[in-house]
Amino acid sequence: MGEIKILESLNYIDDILISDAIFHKTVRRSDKLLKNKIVKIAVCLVFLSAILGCASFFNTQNHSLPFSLKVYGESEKGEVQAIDMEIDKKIPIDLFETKSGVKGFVFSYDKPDKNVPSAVAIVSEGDYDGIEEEILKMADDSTQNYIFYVPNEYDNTPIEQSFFVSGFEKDILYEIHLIINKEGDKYYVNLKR
Amino acid sequence: MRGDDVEDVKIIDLYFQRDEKAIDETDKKYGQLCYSVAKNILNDKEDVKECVSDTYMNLWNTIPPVKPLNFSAFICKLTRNLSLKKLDYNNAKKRSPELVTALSELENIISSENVTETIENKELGSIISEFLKEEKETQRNVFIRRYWFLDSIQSISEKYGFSQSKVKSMLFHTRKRLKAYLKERGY
Repeated sequence: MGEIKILESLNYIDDILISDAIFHKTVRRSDKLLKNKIVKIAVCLVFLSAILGCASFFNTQNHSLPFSLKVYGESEKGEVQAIDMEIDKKIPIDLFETKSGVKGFVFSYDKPDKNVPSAVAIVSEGDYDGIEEEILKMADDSTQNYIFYVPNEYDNTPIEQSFFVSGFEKDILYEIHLIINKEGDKYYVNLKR
Repeated sequence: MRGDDVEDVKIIDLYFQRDEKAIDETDKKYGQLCYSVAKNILNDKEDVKECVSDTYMNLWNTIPPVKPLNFSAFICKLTRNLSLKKLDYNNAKKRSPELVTALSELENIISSENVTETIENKELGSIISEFLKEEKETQRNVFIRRYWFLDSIQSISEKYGFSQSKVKSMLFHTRKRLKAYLKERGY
């Protein structure tokens, strides 16, 4: 019955919140980005470099990564452990929760430039401004750049997800293709070719 | 003051002058909105029409003496209240499909032990208001469109230009934050 209580109580929220939701200017998805010519050109260039970069990588690097990719999980003692990923090797992985309650999987790779501070890439369909700082506070290895992947609650496993990493070689973008599976309560990840 | 507010002041003046054009102008500007508020709650077309007519009658009888400061919210609240009153919670058939799914999403936000008559809706509503004011504008509006207006996920995603999974994800996280916010306050 709690849901009905919430539904009825919502009738007492402030008027301004209701009128804001009525008159809030909304943007149609198609109008959002591609109206801007510069953005259109930038999108084309990014796609082109991604395609060229991936093609070059797969042709010359024999499908191996020039950096180590780590995945984070909890040991049986409850300690955070980083495990190096290998192609087609099933590795246990855990969801980590940030201070603000966002849950995600954590990956990291060696920083291409040791002189710049660690960076965090958030991979998510949601809007999580500001959690980069929370993740950097959780992380303690300044040699790594981090990827925080927030799975969608509606995604069923296996989840297939790709990340792109750049900065190691000029014009080359590395695609990391992962498959996350759930067995019982435990998640496992596989790095694919 | 927004252009809409100026227009609303003129409509309210018509009510004060007891001019029946007030109803026509209200219907012209807010008829569709009232209809969608009622339709998202009730599953019966006749009930929806009746609710919208009752909204206009209530407006006519309430203004004056009441002079709403926020006419759009006032009229929507009236329609929502009347629609919820018409709804028989025990008769699932009368609930619109949108209401049924929205209710299932709102399950467990407050502990069932706390669902007693002793919790005043007004008090809970004001806490939810405080929570929503702390949320980002988009998250707040998406939440209100879903659980106040009971808009479908599809309609919200079209309105805001987000994918449906992004809307679901936003709602999931806002509900989670609301649950924690209410728990901290003993609900």
